Amino acid sequence: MTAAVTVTRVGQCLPAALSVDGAPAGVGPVRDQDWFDVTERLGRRGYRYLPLPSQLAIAAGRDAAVGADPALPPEQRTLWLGTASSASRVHAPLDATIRQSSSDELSPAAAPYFSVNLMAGRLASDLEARGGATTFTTPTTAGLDALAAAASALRLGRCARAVVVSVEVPPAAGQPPLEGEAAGAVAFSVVDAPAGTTVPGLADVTVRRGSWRPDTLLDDVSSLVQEHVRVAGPAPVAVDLHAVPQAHALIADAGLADHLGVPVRLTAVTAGGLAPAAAVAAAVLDGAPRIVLVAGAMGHLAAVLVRPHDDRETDR
Amino acid sequence: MSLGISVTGTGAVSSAGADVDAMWAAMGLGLPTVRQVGDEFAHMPVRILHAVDAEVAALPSATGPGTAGRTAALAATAAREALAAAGPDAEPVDPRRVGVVVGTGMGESGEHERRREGAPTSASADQPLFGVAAEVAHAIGARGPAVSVSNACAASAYAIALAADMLLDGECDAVLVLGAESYSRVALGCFNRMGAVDPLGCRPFAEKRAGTVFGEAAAALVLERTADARRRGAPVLAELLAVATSCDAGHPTAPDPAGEQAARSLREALESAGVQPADVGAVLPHGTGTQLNDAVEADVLRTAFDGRPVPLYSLKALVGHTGGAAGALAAVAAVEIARHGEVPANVDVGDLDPESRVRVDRSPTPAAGAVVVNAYAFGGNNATLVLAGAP
Repeated sequence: MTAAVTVTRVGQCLPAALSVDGAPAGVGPVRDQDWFDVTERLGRRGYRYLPLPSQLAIAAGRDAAVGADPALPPEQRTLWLGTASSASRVHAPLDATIRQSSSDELSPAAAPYFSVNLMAGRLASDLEARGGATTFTTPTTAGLDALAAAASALRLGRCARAVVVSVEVPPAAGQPPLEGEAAGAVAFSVVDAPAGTTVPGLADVTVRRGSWRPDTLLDDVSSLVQEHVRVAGPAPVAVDLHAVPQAHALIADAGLADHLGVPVRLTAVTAGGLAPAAAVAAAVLDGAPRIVLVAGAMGHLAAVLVRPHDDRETDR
Repeated sequence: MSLGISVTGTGAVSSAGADVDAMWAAMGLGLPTVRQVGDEFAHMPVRILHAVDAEVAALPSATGPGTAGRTAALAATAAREALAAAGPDAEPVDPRRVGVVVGTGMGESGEHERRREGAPTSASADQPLFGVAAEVAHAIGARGPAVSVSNACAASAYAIALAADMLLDGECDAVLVLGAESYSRVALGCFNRMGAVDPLGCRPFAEKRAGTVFGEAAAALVLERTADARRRGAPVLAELLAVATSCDAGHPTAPDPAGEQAARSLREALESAGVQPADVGAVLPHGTGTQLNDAVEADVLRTAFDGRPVPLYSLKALVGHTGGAAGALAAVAAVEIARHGEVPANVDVGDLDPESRVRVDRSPTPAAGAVVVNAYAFGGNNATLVLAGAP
């Protein structure tokens, strides 16, 4: 488990169907990104030649970093980016060129982006994140892994501010679509505010992680959620569950709400993982205690407790 | 001050052999093996690879039909060796407290490349590219977090850093850290396009170096808090004294010519470890054989060690640049160097660059003290590990 850290600002670059302003996020059948105008959003400084995931990450990450202390030394700034789908989208056209023609025909501007961590490269530069830039690619939970790792780094004093970005994209043109996959990014500016301090913030978040297996799913989920429910205290806390189809079916049949004793809302996700990160963002902005629980592809499991920032000192 | 974290098991599979003992023996012989890739769709000028030729058992997929991909199979091979070393008779760790962190730049890219060409493969169109951590976690019965980190050529050094934080923050009681990479046409083609592949081999710090050569590999380290390891009776092979990371936050692919952040990473790692530069017995450099990387790293090393020529072991000259596996593989080699107290003879890469002024001995050298591992990557990512033999 990672201890609570404080989200001070949320950034987003999302289609309307996933907007985290106001209504809780859902999953939209977004197949393209006509809603995103890179020049309008990022300006005319060469951003249009970056791959789409990089553009989206920059848009959301910059948004999250607005108002951050400009005097903070770059060595104390870090970037944590989660993306399970970006590499697939970028690799497919590169491979087609190599396979059907030659590596000599690759665009020299595009070739370096076979390396998925470059989706964080320009944003790290823009943010002057010299404390480190780490890229996670775990199916479904990449963005929440980024949040968990940032929280640990903050708690252990490795940095003073973390910008955490979750960015996902649909497959490349001509590739089989993934059900429910969306394009977009959400970002969080995160700090550690030890007990007794008065750092202003939107919400406190705590990430717990594990794994799930079909034969132990309820126990797996309970082991993560019960501790969150205990920490949340007497205030009502809802569980926003995002589950891949197999887990979704198992949970729907098993009556998870009865098992946990708290309200549960089920949402289906794929391996992309944007919707759960957007749900965390929505909960941060909403202000009510909420647990965003993800039973992801290949057995990944994460639970994020989001609480109003004012609750913080009472249970640390 | 030490992190209080120990390495209790290691595993490795590479072109240098199918286990750690084989790699250590190959490090002593210094005879790299490179071959042409057999991929008929690899339309590119330079098609050489340090391939894993050892028999690697297929890994039944725990999360889908058929078998897992080649990267996961390599990773599982290294993982099983590491776990077998980490005290098979010791008190077991609660599986829900065991994490798996995999550093890989390309995941199962090779499987998807075969799918796109219509060849038999384990990959379906919607199979995640980065499912290696999950496949290994299923294979070994780990029930804690299974995390995939993809910081390019420093991915598994970052994985070690993340694992250390998971232990220090109390999220896990043991973490299996892996670096894993298998042949990828996309990666090799893109490196060709960037003019970064040396047709004559990987020649770190050589005067006539002309790029790198990729290699397949997986490496595994079991990390535990030292007190926990001793309590449960696990063997302590080495201590992980410190980890430090930094980011140039500049050019997407080229290192900062001044090496400012790479130098900071090394400096802060040594300070954090409480190790004086004079007490470092060996360095496993990132040493890719690319012009600028080696020049910058040589400057960083000279500055950090105040001009003292610390013995280097250039692992990539033997096994190639194993991408996301490189940091963990170097860490496994560092554990062996610390255990044996010796830096093996380096592979002959021809005359060294007189500008580099680094010490790359062609004969075995005694190594007392801490062992440093550098790992750098696209995106300006820098990581430094400091290890030492068991006290």
